[in-house]
Amino acid sequence: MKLVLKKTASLIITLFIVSLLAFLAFQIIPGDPTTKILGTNASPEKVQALRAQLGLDRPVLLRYWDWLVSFLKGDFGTSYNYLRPVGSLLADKLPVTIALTLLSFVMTVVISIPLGILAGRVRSQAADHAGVVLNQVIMAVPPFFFGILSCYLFGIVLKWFQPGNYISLSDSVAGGISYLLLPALSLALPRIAMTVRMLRGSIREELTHNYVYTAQARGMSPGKILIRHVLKNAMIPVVTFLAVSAAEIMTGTIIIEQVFTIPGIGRLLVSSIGNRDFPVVQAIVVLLAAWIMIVNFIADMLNHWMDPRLAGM
Amino acid sequence: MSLLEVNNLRVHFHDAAPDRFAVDGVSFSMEKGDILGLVGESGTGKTVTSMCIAGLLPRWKADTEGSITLDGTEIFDCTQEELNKILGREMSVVFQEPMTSFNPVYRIGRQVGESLYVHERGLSRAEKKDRVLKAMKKAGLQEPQEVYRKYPHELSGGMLQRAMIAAAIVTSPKLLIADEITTALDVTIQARILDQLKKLNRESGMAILFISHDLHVVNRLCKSVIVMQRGKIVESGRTEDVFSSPQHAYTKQLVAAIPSRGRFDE
Amino acid sequence: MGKKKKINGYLLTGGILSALLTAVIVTGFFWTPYSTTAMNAKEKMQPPSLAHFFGTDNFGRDVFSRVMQGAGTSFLIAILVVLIGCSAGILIGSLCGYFGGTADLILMRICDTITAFPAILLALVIISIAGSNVSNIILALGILFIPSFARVVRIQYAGIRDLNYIKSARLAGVGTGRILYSHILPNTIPILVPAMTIGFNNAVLAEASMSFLGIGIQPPQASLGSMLKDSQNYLTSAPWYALGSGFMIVLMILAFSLLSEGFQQSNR
Repeated sequence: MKLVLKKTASLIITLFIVSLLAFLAFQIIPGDPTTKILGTNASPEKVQALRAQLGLDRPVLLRYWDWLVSFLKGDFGTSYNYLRPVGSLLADKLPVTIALTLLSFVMTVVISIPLGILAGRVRSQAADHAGVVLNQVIMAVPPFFFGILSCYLFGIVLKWFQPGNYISLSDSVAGGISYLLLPALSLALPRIAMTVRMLRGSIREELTHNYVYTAQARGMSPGKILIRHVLKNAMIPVVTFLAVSAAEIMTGTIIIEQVFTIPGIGRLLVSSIGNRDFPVVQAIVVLLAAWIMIVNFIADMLNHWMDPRLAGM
Repeated sequence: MSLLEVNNLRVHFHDAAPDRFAVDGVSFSMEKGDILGLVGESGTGKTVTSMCIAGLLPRWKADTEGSITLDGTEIFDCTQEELNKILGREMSVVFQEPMTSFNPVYRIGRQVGESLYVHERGLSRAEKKDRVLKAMKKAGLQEPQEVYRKYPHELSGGMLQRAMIAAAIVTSPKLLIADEITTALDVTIQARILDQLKKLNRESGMAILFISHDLHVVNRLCKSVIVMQRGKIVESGRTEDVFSSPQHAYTKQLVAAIPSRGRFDE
Repeated sequence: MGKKKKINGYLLTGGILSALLTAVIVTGFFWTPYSTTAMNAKEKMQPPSLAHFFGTDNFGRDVFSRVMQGAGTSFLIAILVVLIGCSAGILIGSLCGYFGGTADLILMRICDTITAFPAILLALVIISIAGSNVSNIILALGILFIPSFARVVRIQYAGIRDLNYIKSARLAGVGTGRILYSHILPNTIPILVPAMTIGFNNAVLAEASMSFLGIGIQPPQASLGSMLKDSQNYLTSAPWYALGSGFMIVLMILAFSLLSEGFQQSNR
């Protein structure tokens, strides 16, 4: 319990620092956002008024504090480009991205763990080599290329779906999810390959430990030894890696949403970077950063729960 | 019929030279209630012999010849399933390193009771726990309730080795193979564990095959002893006889090399 | 060094593949079968043929020539990124590992935090602030790659600094700089080489992703990522455009990850 409090405190402090850095980063941008909104030949009074409206005339730290307080209240500022609250811009895009991320992450876990166990158990050298090579090939295919390939194969050749014709989750949950399947798989594939590789190595390493002999000497069958003894130990590093994967998948949506024209926050982020619409960029970056920190926090807690040796630390 | 009979055992590792046998024609037998010491320098084939008896030597690693029978059952003829029925129930093994012999992520109680989980599926939770606590007591653990809930890293080497012994005797096996179990421990703890083993042997009649390179320890525990060198038995007999008047040159060297100048006391 | 390392299948395949790729890429700097920019309305969207290995694009440009050039751009960027990340990583990692102390603690904590974030996300932030051009991309990725190198180097230095031969060198009055970079550095090579190949791969992938998003290399300069993005519009009429540029990325990454796998296995 004490540990949870300690870790939570450290999570909050890190989130605070990351948000400060994210805020400061967007303060050093060359060029004035008012020029962006009003154009270069606006009157000084108008510029002044807009600066006041956007709160740009106050000290940086004060602005950070205000920004943080309103951010926590759900007010993410106003988009320079759409002149709309960022919150409302995000509200209809975030669920899509979250659905895509979750779908892809679940695929990664559900597919990679059984395959990893299988790869860890395989005795035949040839099968093992084939697995390793296949893994290397899959890891070499970037998600966006796999996305394009599957658009071509399933969309254009087989006509199973129409690329670019996104079905909204609010219109049809089944339709929306089935449209998200291929993008989710594109994101998941390299992560699956990496997780399998890692679990395989981890299981093989654990199988050399003495406790495996002990279990053998008690008459336990190899399958049971794997499930009852080896797996929990082997999963400890994999859990941390899966947290990294969750972060990578969420970031990966930025690109895969472009490939499949999915209206999520990734597309919004890319167009906002193009438009130099900084409040939007900032809000998305802070949200992504928070997600990454939280996922790492969960992995950390899981590790502590799985590995009693960490408890004293 | 003897409890354990080893006849002309030969072991050849696949990666060794063709004429180099890790165990070369070893024969001996043990009766119920025996405590037999197996001594010799490290690398002399003691552990390989014990691994063969326990059926733990992987078949893809080495070829074996000869015969090993436990209670009339030929170990070399057993399938893995048949062997798994014997291991942990008829015959238990305790290894040298107590620290790594335990799985770090599970509590001691669960691991000590594992042979029950494997061999006596019908037991209720409470019965199982009761058996585990009793075994811990027998193995000399003073506060079994306490130890039951601990993780391996929370216990000392001596405590862990006692827990390991508890795990080995929880099913009341006929034979306990103890492979260098006191080597990693302090001398005072060694003495207490030896006493405990003696007590166990006296009370339950469990036979113990005690493997060690430490003649002191063997002398203290074992009724009879076998001395091995380079895979062969060079001398055997009652412990007192072998150590007080060693016949073979190698045994003489071994006895002479002991710091206490060759004198043994009970 | 000096000890002969076992050549394994991964090292061999990876070596041959990357040698071939490098040859193609280096050739691409000086000569391509066709001009990479000249448009040819008559030869628009030609499927692959002996004249055009990978077909032609919507402007009638030879896809193979553009892939050669685009791979060259990606290759150069990746090498520069790895060089920046690696040299700064060696500097920071060696000082942190050798001297330890509070600075080491703080710097490594910062490195941990940076590596917790996907490089692309941070690169996007930097590019969105600093503006997108080739040197900003190289710089942004290069900086983001420092922590991963610093960490592996630091571990090596922290392990080696207390070994006897370093102690005796110190006692013999060898200068700190000499100890750091001519005594210890060679020992980090077995770890650094796989780290560099992995870094190279990540750099290729990151650059391709950014160009794909339209934030990296700008047209008309060829880049594998932006070609792939372009090709998406012609997926129905000219699928070879996407295949050509995509397979080049896959090949580059595969070649170097096989190489890295090979290095790791031969170090065992």
